[in-house]
Amino acid sequence: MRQRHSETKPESRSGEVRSELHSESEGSDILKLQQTIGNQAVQRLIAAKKSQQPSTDAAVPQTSRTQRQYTSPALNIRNRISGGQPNRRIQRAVKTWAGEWDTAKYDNIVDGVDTVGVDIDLHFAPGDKVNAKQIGTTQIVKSADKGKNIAINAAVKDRNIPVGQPGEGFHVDQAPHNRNPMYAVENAPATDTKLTDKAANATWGQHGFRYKDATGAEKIQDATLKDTPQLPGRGADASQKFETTALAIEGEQQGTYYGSVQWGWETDAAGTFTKLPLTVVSNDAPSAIFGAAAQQWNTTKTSTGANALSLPTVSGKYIAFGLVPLMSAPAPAAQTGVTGVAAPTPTKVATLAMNTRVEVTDNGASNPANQGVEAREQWQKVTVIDGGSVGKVGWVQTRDLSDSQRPDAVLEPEMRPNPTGQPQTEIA
Amino acid sequence: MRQNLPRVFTYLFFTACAVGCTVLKGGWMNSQRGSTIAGKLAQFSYSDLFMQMETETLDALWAEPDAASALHHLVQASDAPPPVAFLAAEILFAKEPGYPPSAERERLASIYGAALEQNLTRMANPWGLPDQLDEPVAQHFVSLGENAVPVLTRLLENTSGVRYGGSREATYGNSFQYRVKDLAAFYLSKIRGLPYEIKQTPQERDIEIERLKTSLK
Repeated sequence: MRQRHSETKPESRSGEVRSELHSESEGSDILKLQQTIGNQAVQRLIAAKKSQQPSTDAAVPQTSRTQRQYTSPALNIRNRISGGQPNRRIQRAVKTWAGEWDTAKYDNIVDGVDTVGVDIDLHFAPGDKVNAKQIGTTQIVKSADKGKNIAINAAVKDRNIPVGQPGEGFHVDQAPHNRNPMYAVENAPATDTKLTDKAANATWGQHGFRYKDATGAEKIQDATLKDTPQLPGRGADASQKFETTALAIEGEQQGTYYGSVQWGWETDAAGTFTKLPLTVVSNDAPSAIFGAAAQQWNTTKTSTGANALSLPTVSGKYIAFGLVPLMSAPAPAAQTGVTGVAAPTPTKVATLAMNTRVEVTDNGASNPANQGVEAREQWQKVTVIDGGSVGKVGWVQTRDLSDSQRPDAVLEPEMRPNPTGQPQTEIA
Repeated sequence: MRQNLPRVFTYLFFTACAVGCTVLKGGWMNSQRGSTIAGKLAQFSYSDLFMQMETETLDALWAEPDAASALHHLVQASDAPPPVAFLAAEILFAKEPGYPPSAERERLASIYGAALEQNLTRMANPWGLPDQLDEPVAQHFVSLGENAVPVLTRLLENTSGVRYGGSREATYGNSFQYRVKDLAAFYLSKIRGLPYEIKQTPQERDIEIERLKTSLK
């Protein structure tokens, strides 16, 4: 059963959020203990636990080889009751622009006497600015042992970001035989051409959605991912680190990423195991490393020789001027100077303020309206990430986009050329 | 830690020998080159040599003077420790075109059988995910053909569990609760070209394995 926690810290623009340990699950554990071994034993357990509680609040230190030298009997009982997974915790939820990330399960995996991985059930709950009929989860991972990156199998070797490049060792996490990068999709046939052609398999999770149907009724479902990453026989300086994101694969916001989160585990030089807290990596478009891993994925084949279905690569930008119109389609040929190109008559979806954050989901390279047009005049498709028009989708010209925020009042709105001929006096 | 003890002892033993042990006579220890490279191999796991992204360790071993003949010697010596013989064989498979010669196939079958039984790869991934033969160790074992059949037939009785590492692949592989006997049955079916359907549960696969045994007779 999924647990939701309303108290979260808002993330910064850079997407860094520090999640803290959550203690609600301890309540039910303690109740079980009181029923099983009595109040006095529980009090001893709590005292023993408090004495072992580390001061740090971010990481979740777990039983290590050195720590195992002494474990109180009460804690042993608690561990047995909780399934042999010491210090089981539920992380606090974290938020991105489009929704909330949380774990219904985030436990240690023990192999013999060693903790070798984690068992996670990760949820993305789409917020009210999401408009997508299908939302899939996908993730990248890097595994290391003895301080060196490892490739679990031949397919991973091909999918890895190569040695010497930023993010080396990260790759899209999918089984070698699978060509669909959506985590919950298994065995997509060679005939599939779209990420949506094969439905999610419940073993691995489910696709989410949030949209209004033809009757206006809202349909909502979390996107989920179930994973048990582990490195049996791992040594010191081992780790498995993930960046997981949710992607709209069908609907109005198709191609839009809904932010990304980090999780996983690591061991230090002494072999002490630590479960990494769930934290936000990016509020919108995934990291540059994710982008590099996605590009690598898009060029590789499966273990059976089939081409992989491509992941969209996107980038986060800012609106560079004030009063920039967000159009429903690229400007028609007459306005771009290109003749003979049939294009829908665009309408203004919204007017965007300077420094509005947008996610570029289509650079328009293959759009007819951009053929033969100077680069800065070309149109790019964006999803608005913040401001009064958050969640809206439309097209803006390249010249209206910037990689970074601009100081206020650098440019007056009237200095920006008007591509549509429409008056630019209103802000949506 | 307990599972690492044999490696530690092996390492200490071979390291000592590599610096001048002349007491032991007969077998593979008569070769100074063999004992030197064996001492080095004993320091490494399969993961160290074949699962790291960088191949410098493997390349350095292969660059040792007369490495090929020393490794052949280790493979052929019936008294070589299984971890050392297994790594020697894997290096030859990786580096020597046309490997293995027919004269080494029977010995290799024994080496790979021991490697599977003793979990020398630590993670089961190199042996292949269920119903997949695209990993090198699995391919090497199957490539031994009829020479591997007696060993694999014996392993059909081995119910020891194997454990996959990684993320998606680990979750997939471990969902089958695979055992040594499951891998052995799959390899046998490939070598003999026998029909063998991979079922999800051990109970279902046991029925398939019994059918396979009948076909092998």
